[in-house]
Amino acid sequence: MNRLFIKFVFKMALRSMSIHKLRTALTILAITWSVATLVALRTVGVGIKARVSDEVNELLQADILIMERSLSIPEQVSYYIASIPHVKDSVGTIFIPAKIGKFKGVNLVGVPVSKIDFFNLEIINGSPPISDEAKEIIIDSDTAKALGITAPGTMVKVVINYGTVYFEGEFKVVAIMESRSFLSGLFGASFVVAPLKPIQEMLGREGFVNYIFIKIDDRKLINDVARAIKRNYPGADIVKQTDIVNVIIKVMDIIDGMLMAVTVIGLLVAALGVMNTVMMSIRERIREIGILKTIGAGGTHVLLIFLSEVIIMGVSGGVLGIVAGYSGSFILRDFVNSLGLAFEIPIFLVPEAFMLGFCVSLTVSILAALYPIYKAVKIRPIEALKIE
Amino acid sequence: MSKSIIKIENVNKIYRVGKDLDVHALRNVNLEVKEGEILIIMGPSGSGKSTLLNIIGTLDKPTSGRVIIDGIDVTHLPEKELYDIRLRKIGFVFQFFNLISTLTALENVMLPMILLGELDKEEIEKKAKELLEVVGLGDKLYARPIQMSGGQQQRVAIARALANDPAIVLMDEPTGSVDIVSEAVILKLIQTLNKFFGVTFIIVTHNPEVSIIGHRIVYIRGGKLFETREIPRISIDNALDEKQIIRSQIEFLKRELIRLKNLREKGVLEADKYAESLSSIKRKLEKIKSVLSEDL
Repeated sequence: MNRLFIKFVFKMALRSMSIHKLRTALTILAITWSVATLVALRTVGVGIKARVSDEVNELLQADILIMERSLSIPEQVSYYIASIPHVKDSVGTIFIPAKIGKFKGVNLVGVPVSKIDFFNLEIINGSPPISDEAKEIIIDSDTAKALGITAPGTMVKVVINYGTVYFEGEFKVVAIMESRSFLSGLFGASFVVAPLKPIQEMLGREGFVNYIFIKIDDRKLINDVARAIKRNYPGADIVKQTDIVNVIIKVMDIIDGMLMAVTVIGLLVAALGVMNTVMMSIRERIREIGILKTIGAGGTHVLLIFLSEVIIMGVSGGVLGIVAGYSGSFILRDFVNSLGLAFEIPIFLVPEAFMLGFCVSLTVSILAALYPIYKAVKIRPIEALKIE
Repeated sequence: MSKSIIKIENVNKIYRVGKDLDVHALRNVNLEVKEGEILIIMGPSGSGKSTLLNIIGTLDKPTSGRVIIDGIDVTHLPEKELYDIRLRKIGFVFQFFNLISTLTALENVMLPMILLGELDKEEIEKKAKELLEVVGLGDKLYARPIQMSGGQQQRVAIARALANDPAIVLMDEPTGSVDIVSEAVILKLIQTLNKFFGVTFIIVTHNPEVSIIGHRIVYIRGGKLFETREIPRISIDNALDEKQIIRSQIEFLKRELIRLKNLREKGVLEADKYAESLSSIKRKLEKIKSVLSEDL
């Protein structure tokens, strides 16, 4: 097959397509639409997943979590765990639902003052407690807003009503921190942080905690470290950060799959459009096929003549679809956000989504055209010439 | 002695129409066409003349018998090789819709040469332009079929048929859909091409006007060639510039000689094929010489 002929063939294809502008445009539009949907869903999906892992990281501030329903873990365990190889840091805390002010429900986290840094709090106003004995508290900006607190220094009432335990006490707000994590947004729960000791005293469980947050130095070793903890504390309820992310991602994959199924329907419609266009084009030019074969064009030549049109449609549909899909992902993101997800989905350039969109566009177009083109290739010149 | 270009031996063609119904389209047809001949095949519709033309053109296969084109027995060649035979040896002109609608006149004429792929783009374009000059359409190079009259389209088709220097040009009612003036131009063109280029033509028609340019007429009826007779050649008034045509032909032959010489020097062309091509060019030159001496 010579290059001159291939150039010639594409020239023919472009002219034939410009003669049937509307038909070509509609076919390309169908391909564009389905590729755009595919690319947008992928792009937003990747953004959401990346955001979810970030959020889970930020929420937990730990790679591994040991949880107990009751305040039954001796505080020393957390110091002991800190000595297990690859454990970077470990904090024993009390993590308990509480009410602050009159009715505001929050998650109260009691932390040793020396370990407050573990949680990377973003203090907006004020400074964290410095004494382990102090009845001081850091509240997040949502809580501050709900309570009408604008600056540190106010006293607030904290009520803990957990199982059989009931306690109330006055705490002094010393700092306001950024509200964060999409989970808190999702569940409408805020966080407040206070020194561990006064809370243990309030609950009458000095020396005990119910949550241990653990950071490790190499996330790849997360399973090994979890096993080491399990060996030392066989009864511990261990949650790995990766488990939570995986669960969320699994749920999102299911949603993704359903959306993709919808996209596939779009692709099928586009494929039918391509098939129809090629069939029409071949039907209109059947006599030309006859003439081409009569003057010595072989099956490959005829194949190329029609395939070139399909390639042009597939490529332009693919490229337009990628552009439209990428731009559309911002719209989709805004739509998802408008549904009430209080977090910003980042939109990345996802080359994998682009490649997928392009390949799918080209493959689907070519596959859809194969049957009509095959018939055109196989038709005998004498039959083609007879059809008027 | 002229070379034999087409040889049809005992050709039968039977179409199976229904379960038990056979149509005998050709019955024991024998025919020989010499180089430089204009052969007219005449007959009523349904007589089998198109079938015969299709079989000569390798578009259809005979049920029995042999078809030899320019020394090659094509009867049992596979379709792939037939494409090559059609590309190199045969030019086709049909009654109508001969051209590729998306291509210009020039591109239509370039197409067979591009398919063959033996010349480079400049050579192909140059030759196509010259061929269009020869058929009197030097001013329509970039016109699309839709912008040309039926007669002009037919002339583009003739130029295209000549693109790869075929051994024979087959025409199926070439003037069937053109007006009377265009018909005269086309007939004159066929005659001139035959006279100066030595092109062999087989023309199927039921138009007696066309038959006047033939060297020989074959009648076909009910699938049988039942009469052949030689007819005197009648010249049509000069409608084309003969000097231009002779100049083009000599130019073509000159370039062909250079090309063949180069191929031979590179060792691409075998000695016997080279000799054969040379003698073909020689015959064409002698033809021009004899025509010129006649005119003088």
